[in-house]
Amino acid sequence: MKKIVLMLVFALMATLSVAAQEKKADAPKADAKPAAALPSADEILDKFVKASGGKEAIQKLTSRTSKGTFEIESMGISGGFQSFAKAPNKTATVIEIPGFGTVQQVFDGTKAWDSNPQTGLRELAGAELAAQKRDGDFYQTINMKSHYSKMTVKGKEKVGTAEAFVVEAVPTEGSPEKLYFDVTTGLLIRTDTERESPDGKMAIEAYMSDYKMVDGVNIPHTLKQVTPMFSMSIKMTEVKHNAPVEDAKFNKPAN
Amino acid sequence: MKLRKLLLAAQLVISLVCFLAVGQAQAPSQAVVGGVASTEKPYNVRQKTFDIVWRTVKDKHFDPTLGGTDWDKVRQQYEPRLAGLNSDAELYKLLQQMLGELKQSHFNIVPPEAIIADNTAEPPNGSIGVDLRIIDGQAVIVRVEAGSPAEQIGLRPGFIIKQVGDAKVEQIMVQPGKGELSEKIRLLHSTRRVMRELNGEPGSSVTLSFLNGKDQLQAVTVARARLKGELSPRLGNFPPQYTELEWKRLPGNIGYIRFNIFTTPISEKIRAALNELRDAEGIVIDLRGNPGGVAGIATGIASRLSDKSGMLGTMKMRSSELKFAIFPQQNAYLGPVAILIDGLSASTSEVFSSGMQELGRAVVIGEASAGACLPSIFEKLPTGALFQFAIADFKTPKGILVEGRGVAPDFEVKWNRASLLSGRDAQLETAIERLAQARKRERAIK
Repeated sequence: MKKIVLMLVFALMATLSVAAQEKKADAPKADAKPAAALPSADEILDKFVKASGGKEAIQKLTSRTSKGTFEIESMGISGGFQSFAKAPNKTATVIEIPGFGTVQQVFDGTKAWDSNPQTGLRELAGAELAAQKRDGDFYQTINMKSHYSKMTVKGKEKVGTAEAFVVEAVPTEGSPEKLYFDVTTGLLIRTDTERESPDGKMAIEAYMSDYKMVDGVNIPHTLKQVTPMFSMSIKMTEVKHNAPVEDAKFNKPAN
Repeated sequence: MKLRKLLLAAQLVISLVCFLAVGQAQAPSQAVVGGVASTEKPYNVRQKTFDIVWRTVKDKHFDPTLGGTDWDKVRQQYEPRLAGLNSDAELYKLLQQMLGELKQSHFNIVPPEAIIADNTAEPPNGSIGVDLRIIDGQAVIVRVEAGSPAEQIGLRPGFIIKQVGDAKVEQIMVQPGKGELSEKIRLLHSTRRVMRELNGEPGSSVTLSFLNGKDQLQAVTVARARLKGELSPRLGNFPPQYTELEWKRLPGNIGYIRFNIFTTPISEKIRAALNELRDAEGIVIDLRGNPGGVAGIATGIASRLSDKSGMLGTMKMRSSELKFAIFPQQNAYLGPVAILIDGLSASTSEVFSSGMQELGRAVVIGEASAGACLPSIFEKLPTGALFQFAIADFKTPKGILVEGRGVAPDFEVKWNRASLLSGRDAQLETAIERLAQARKRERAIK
């Protein structure tokens, strides 16, 4: 967190040095409307929060446990997963890949690790850790602006049959992302991101669908992740909120 | 919101679960998996299968130019022959020929009958317990398993197999000029074919004639014993593979680890072996004859032999690339390492040996490897066969393409019949020597 704060400070200093007349900003601001026909990023995000159940409903939640399945049809690989999230910012995911073993990814609010039987345990750093911090925010839906230094509405595009507003979001660390919000429902239906790791950068398109209300919040139950190598389909089979989640779930995985 | 990032860890892991293996390491079982009961007419299913194979190469090959191969013309050349096919077996032969036009490794059709069933960890195959190499055109035994039927009947390293059953070895081997990628690949396929004839059902027997150490022709009938290793679990479309690992401590406190293929059960076994060998003066990793396997296993092993981050190389796909990154693990073995390779070391073996060599983490000894090193995946075809196709090329950390070239050892030591007959393994001896020298240098510096 300290690193992100420092980066923001340096970014701010740089801005001041070249444009001293500009007022100091407390937080990054979404761009103004780029065209008359398009809403602002703030308006799109507000609609997204409402479509997701509203700020109040989201804030009532303190934990989430999910179960589901995944499949990579082209490679004949399928398996199950469990995911745990606890406010304000702890996450853990346990994925079982038959014939391979257990893959774990944990963020304890400060540090993040992943572990698999192939490469063992490793601590995440740099852009990877920053992404974990961003995604580890339990209230990310309502805090989205705070995770990006810049959000710009780029236009409208079709996502399947739906029309979507395209928002380019520049994280404080890592590559820019594209977020696609359904024009009609306001929900997030696609993201284009680049996952950075020591293995390199991997472009990932994610398509969210099958939104269902669970305890007053709207949660996508189906996800399709498309990479240059394959497509992965993920289905949520169970989502529970506010059930007790032991802090031990977010400990560093065993090596 | 978070669902979109939910399984990214799995995405990356599975991205490295691509396969680098040149065909099946062992003779296939009789079991059939994945046969598709179809009500469609055979011709239609074959046409669909042909379309998928042709289209996959066209759309997914890592090099959109296909190295200059006119793929549309290839289709025009092969598609008319579909009408004359009488069986799926003929289709697979046709498809394999078509894929051969690419002149690259890792484009294979695996017929349903060659896919091992995954309902047991017990290997379905039997073996007489020898390993062999083609040396100067002869099928020479290079290893005899201790306690095996071959050892009991008196077969020894250096003996030359001349005939298996009714077939002379020269007839079994692939003849030059039959569309093989290279001489090295021809020898690899020839060795596999002779091994397939030697191996078979446990309890069955095979009659073979051979030249002994005095070049006298002898004939024996040897019973095949069930293989002692295990079958790896199915990993998606990657069928179970016969997997064996041995490790021991050699004189001079040198550790020795040999495994026949990179599969998921190997990871844990190697970790255990490295723990036991933590105090060894050096470690030899024997990849001679190892055809490859799951690519990510190589980075896992490298991670247990290193205290520095790095990579074994890069796989470049059509629109992106991934590194085979090394993540140093606690209690890694940091003493000197030697890797043994030969012409049958392929794919993941080449990723591991070339990467470790360029990182300066291991000295490579033996013969140049196969030069068959393209990351691939398996997809199931409508007929139930599997289609293995390369999705990327592989380059070493210094950017050298291994496909078609192979890994050149730091110290070339060729298989040699005379030394085998005298009970020596010259490649292993060189490795032990080099490790002892490396240790000596380390101590001198300290």
